[in-house]
Amino acid sequence: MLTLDRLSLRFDRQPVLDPISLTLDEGRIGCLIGPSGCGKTSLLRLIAGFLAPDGGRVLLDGEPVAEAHRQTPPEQRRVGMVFQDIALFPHLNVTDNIAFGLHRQPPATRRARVTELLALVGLPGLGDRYPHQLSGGQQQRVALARALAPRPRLLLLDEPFSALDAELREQISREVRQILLREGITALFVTHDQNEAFALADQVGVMHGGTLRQWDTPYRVYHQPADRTVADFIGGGVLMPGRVRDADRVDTALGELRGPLPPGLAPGAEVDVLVRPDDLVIDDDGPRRARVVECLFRGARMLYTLELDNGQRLPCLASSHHAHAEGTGVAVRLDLEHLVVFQSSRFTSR
Amino acid sequence: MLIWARRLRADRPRRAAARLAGFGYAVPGTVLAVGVVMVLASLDRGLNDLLAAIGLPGPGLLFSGTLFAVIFACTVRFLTIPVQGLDAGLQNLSPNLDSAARSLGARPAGLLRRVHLPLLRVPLATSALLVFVDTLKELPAALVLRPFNTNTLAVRAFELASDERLADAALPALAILLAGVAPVILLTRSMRVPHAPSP
Repeated sequence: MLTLDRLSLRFDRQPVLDPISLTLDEGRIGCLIGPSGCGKTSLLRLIAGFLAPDGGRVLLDGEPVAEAHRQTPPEQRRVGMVFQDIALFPHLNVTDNIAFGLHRQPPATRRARVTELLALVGLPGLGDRYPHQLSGGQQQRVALARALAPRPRLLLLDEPFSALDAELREQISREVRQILLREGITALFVTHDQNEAFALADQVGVMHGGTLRQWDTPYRVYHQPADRTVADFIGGGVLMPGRVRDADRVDTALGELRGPLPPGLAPGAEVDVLVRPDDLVIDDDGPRRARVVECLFRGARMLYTLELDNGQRLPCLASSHHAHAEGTGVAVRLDLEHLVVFQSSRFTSR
Repeated sequence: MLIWARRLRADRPRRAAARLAGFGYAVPGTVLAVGVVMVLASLDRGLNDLLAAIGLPGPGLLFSGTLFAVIFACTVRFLTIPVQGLDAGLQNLSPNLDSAARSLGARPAGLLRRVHLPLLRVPLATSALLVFVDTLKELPAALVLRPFNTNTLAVRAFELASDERLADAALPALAILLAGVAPVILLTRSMRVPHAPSP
């Protein structure tokens, strides 16, 4: 459906996007995550046609819409977009906003489609309101309906929920996923919130510094990060130093860990092992002692920062039934399902 | 006047042109008038020569001898007002509005007609009004360029005043004042409801 083929972009000779390739299948929801400034919004604007690539191609249904010297103008691409600042037309009411992309259709069809969409986004009867009379969540839904109205081939959403408060964000993003699935829309999101990405997407792309580091299912992005940047960005884990003992064992401050190791690691090699907050369990019978350095109450869960005897700090997500005060000692055990090991590089900035 | 403003809007991205537009405002009206006469007169001569060459009667001073000259001079002189006004108006609109309209199938012309013009009604009206008031008061250019038998209020007031007929001069002067103030009042009223629902 959507294919990016070695797409690159520069601003003032400064590379913004290094060649990026990915494929998104019909009816799937993709999501790009990455820190701000990693080029994810530029990538969306390239696909929509508001920017022209410096190299590579964008293909929709196998048909190139952007090549080095030939651009299909945005209005002919049939790509819908929902913007971070919502960008509803302030001079038009909800009905006219949604009908904006339908102006070439007969009035009866237009009315029917608007009514259908208002019902779909759960705002029936609000067609006569103006954007400034709506709440943030309602505006967001209208923006979605507006983008869906002309039945685009592909829907792009640029941090669509960042203007909403946390509670509303979760609810709306769940609704949006339902709507997209029901309409069979192929969609590509951009966000910096990984929970949002995991909740919404079938495919997740992790971007960093203008490159696409991994394009995979959410499960694999979390449990089998392609490199240390992805591991670092996703899941709030920590890389803990270790030393390879043999083909499937690593010695660390938390004892011996077993699991498949990447090829090419000789015994004795220095490695980093990824420890996620949910990998560490507070267990009175645990083999290691640790001290609570910090604890953050998160409702159902408590996020601790623990310090081992050797000074290594590790995050630990535990049930908040038992509170451990800062400064107290606890016993811990490592419950590592997926061993993720990277060759140690003392040259990286972290 | 609206037409100028509208034309200007399309010129928006050409910043150099917009800066050039400010030039007319800086130059004294008399200097501008002489410049306009020179340009238009040569245009007239060219046109008449051309028509004579193909054996048609010349239209005479089509550009420099008619109201066109006054209108043209005022356009040049006050161009900067709508440019600035609309520029400020456009800055207030999110660039994503443009993108949204484009992705919904609007061509650039459609974007202008369906999004920008309705949203720029207030700055458009404001600058049109300013130009109107300024044009009304413009003396030197009108004095030089007006065709025979045509008078602007400012010229009339000036003539009467220089003849020491101060009482008579008051009439056109007051007319300028009224004509200038009335639209300002109307505009201030209409601006009190900036987002009034439009049909």
